Amino acid sequence: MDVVFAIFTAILILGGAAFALVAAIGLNRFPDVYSRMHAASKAGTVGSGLLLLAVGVHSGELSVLARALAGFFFFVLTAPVSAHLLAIAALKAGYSMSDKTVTNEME
Amino acid sequence: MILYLLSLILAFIWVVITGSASLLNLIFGFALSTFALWIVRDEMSARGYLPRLGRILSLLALFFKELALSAWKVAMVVLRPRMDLKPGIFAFPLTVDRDFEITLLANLITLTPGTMSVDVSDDRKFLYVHAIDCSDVEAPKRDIANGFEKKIMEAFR
Amino acid sequence: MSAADTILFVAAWLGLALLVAAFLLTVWRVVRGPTLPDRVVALDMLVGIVIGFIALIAIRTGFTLYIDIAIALGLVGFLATVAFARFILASKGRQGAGVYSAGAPLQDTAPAPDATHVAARGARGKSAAKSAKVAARTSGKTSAKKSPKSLPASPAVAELASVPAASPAIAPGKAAEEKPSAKSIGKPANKSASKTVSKSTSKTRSKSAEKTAGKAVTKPGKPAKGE
Repeated sequence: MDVVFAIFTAILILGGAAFALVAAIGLNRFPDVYSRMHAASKAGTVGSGLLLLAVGVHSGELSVLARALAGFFFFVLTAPVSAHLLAIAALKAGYSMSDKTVTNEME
Repeated sequence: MILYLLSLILAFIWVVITGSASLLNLIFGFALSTFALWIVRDEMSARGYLPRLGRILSLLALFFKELALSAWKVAMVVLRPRMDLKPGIFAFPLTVDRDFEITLLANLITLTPGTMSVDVSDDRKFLYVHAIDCSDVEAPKRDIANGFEKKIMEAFR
Repeated sequence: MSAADTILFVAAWLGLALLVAAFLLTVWRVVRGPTLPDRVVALDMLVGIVIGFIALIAIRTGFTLYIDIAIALGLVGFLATVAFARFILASKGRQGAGVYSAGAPLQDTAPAPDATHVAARGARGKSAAKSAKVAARTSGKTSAKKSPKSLPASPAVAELASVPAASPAIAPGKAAEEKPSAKSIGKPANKSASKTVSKSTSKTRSKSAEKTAGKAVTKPGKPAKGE
């Protein structure tokens, strides 16, 4: 039983860390701010969220798991808000999109 | 009635967060949440929301599925050796019109594969969405309209 | 050490290694990020990675109290990002404001005699010393040399001078040329070409230099009235 919990925790840890790494790589590979936000707001959130869940599972206590879940919910709820705010601020301030942009129906 | 239920739920959350499941703590949490609800008493018009709980939960389930899918898709895009992105902003025609629903839809869109909501047009007819892959504009529009927007309409109409 | 402990130990170390790599890559984006929003996005991401670190430390040490710290950090990070977004919106049309390009163009925008006047008067009070610093900033090194009393401000000048060395694509001469039209710049006119954007930032930079120059002129008025 212990081993099952440990393996589950290990999967959560590695998955979370891998997503965080992927988000960081995406942050460096994407061409402009707006596409970088995709990487940071999705893969990054899932990464830290999975790591928090790993703590909850690892402790084996319900109260700790509930707190970890609350933290996970909190991150998932705030990530799109901050990404959206940043995107609209950058757009209104006039930061340009990359040359690869194919459509812009906003004008 | 619904207010008592709501404050009971909040009291449970309080117990969970504080981490000590004693009766005294539950009562304290109940008092605290009643007070918190009393503060926003004017804004509370939460009657009749309970029957929709099931549909809201299904919306939540869809949301987590899409979140997992979205993180996975972004990861795949990032790790692709040759990255030929076609990012762009498309205008999504809104069917929902209430502020609350638009907010919810915008947040859900941000956490779906490859899309991120940027702005709402002034007349609230369009939601401007930034997408990583804009080679086919119609596909993500259809996905959003048939997925999240439909679920939101079901849950809150 | 049981099997479960071994698995956890290895996973935690591997996770730490991955997170360190992610952290360094994100820091690289913060350092390099060509625009302010790039850096803010990377900083937001850094908060997420640090939360991951805290979670891993919680697993390794067994103190579950770390979860609360992680949640608090997430809250602070969110608020910081919101504040940064407001800041980006507020600095609309004058990107690069607050970054000074030390060099030739600043000397002719700042009235040098006035500045030395301020610097000579500077050492009296704290607020006066501040204005002396501003004066030293705007008028460049010449005024600092003229008056020995503004010496305490010179480290600040050196610091400022090191800033633009790290940021590329600033042509001081260009900023001087286009100074007269600086006020008419709202936001970058051409959205697609990156060259024009960098040009316009240098324009706006000279505008910001003008602004600080204006401050340096208006500030000394106050201590003068007191006398």
